[in-house]
Amino acid sequence: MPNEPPKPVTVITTERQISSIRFSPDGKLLFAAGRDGKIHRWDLSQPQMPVEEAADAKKKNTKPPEPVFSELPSLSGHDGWVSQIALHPKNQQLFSSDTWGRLIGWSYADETPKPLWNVPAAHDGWIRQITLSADGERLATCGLDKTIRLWSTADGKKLQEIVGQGEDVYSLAFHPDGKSLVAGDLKGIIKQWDFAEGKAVREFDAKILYMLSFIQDVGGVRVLAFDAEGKTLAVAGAKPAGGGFVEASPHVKFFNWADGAEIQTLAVGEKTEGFVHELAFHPDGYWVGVCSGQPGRGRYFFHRTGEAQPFFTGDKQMPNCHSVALHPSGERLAVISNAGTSGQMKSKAREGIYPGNHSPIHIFDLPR
Amino acid sequence: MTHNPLCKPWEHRLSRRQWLGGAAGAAAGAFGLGDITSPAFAADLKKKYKQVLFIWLDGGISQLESWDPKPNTEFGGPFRTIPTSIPGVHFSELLPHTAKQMQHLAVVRSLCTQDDAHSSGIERIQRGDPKNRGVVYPYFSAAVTKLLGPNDSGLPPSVWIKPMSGGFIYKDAGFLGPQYGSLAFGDGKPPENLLRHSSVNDQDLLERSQLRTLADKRYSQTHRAGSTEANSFVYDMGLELMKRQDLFDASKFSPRDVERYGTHDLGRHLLLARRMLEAGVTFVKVNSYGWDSHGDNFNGSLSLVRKFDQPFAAIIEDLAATGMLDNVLVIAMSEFGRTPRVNGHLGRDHWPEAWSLVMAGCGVKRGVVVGSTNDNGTYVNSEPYDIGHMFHTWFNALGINSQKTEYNNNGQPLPIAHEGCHPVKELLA
Repeated sequence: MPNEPPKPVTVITTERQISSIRFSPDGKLLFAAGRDGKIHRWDLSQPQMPVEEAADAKKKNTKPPEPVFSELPSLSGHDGWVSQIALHPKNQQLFSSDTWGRLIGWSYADETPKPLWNVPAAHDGWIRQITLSADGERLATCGLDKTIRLWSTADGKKLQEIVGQGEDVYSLAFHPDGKSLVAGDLKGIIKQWDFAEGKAVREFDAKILYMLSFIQDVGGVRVLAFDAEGKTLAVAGAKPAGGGFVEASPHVKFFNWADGAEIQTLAVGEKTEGFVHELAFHPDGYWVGVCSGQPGRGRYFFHRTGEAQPFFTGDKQMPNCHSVALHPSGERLAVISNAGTSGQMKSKAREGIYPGNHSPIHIFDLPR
Repeated sequence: MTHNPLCKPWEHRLSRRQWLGGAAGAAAGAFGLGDITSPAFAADLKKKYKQVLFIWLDGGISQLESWDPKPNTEFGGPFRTIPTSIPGVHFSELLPHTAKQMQHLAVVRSLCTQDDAHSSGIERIQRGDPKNRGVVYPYFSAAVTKLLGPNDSGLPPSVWIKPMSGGFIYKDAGFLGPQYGSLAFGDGKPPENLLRHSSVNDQDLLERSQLRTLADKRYSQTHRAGSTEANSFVYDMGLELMKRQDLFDASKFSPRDVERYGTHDLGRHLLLARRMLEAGVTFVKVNSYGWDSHGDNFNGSLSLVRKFDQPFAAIIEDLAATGMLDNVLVIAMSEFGRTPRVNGHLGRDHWPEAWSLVMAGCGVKRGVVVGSTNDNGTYVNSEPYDIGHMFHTWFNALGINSQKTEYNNNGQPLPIAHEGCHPVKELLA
């Protein structure tokens, strides 16, 4: 458990909305999957301190200015939204997917990253999730086309295709032992796949994360994650209360991996707080998660498995959190929220003024 | 003798004579065409019955995830586009079945309407948003059944197939009077207690009907005729529907059609709508609820639009194959579109500024797209069309001269569509 609440470091501004963020394994770079079809990058190794502002703050005895991280040129090559990014644990390689079905492997060893390989139709449409095996040799992907595919990270060759999940596959996670893969779908079913055999060997029930509202399928297993040792499987999304507007309360179910028994069902918020979008397991033994509200504001939160409630929830001035990334040191946290305008604002549109929303990236230090 | 306290005459003012007049193909005046000040079209209408299928996607379908996609733009969202059967016309990838029917469709991409609230917007759209003259205008359903007059199906002129509850929805009729309301089949089921009780045989039923007729006659001697006729109408409608119980019998649908339309509510209801049209109902409205996607719009659209796509394409294909599309006007729309801007809940909000609808069939040009929006889809960059333009267009597609025909509201002449608008010629065959 952190000794004190997360300490704000800075806020990185973006021009467009972001799907997901990740730190590089060496902690020097931050990557973001953009809903503008680009991968955005920032250099965290050499923060710039505004000199004049610092002097001014010192003179006035006010809060020191925030460091500025340099934005590096973005990477193009995707269509629609960049849906996910994943970093190789050892090599300087980045993997990215989009909502049109493309999968790209990149090398970022050089200043200008280069595509190592590019699979234009890795899936038929939206790739929901990509995840790397612990050794970084295999990449698993899943998507709207109800399939799960395994790829060689070295050359982008398809190694295996798994069908049989039955529904839109939202989420994936490799077990840390590398022997199993779990996949979660729209209807709240999680299947454990033995990919050597290509068959499902076990199911977990998270059907509370799904409902049929009139004709709308609402919900889905949005997140699957293991703790560091692979003893606990976390399954997250929302317990829907209705479709259309989509009111839903963020929920996480925890399962004991060894025997499949449910440990806990955690309601993170009310039915206005939306979906849990991501979870990360901190080296100190707790979960860090984010959710976005509908129509509430969402939040980021810290939770230890089995405790009644999250032991920390973030500032509600950070609405609609869609992604969280833990620095490899465990001493830094990045959370993306949403900023901009909701509603119609039609009078401005008639004047040709119609700004989109964007995703500030909030950087925190985590005292340990 | 007092009025029956259980029966409100205003609920049932469509008379027995009017109802049977329709069933017998009686003169146009029998169904109130005499209330139309310029009924020159009446004789032509009688040559071939016109019908309407009106599909209402309540809450607001996103034009960007359906008829007017803007892929790879700021507000374009995650989805791809797909080509349709008309070269150069693309839909969202969420409409694969409908894309194959584009040769039958007319898409309007330049709607710009006035209301961004559901509660007022639904009424304004379905009443055609006429100028305010201190009267409540009829919904399109009531207007059509009034203006087209009766046909010989013997079935209710206007039915509404919808989720949840049913009943007789009289409010839609506005100043035309409650007789132009719609009979709603809640969850696609017939009115409660429609089926004759097993203990009542044919002879029993006949005798009961004769007794009722005698009672009506006696009642009418001391009451105004409208009340008696209203009561009779209700029974006649019930009797006609009892004869057509087969319309509601799902086992009569072919398994192939059930599969083609889908087993979800909208699929079942559109299949029932086809059957109602085949049986001769003049106006069939089908409602789908839950389209107000302020949150999780893209996953919502994945489910909603695809479940619309399958049965919509199927019914267009079927109506075209049987030739019915020549006489059935099909419209699918909402009260507004959705914002190009994606909000923090990954939803889209209300957007009446630039949105789309689709139509097909009777009197409508086929395989056309009319109007356009700018690159980001934020505004209309061709002539904007309000709902009044659509009402003019639809009336003309049905053979009704919308600029010469007027309602006669107890001596008050009223235009049938907003006189500041006009039919969209590019949409008319």
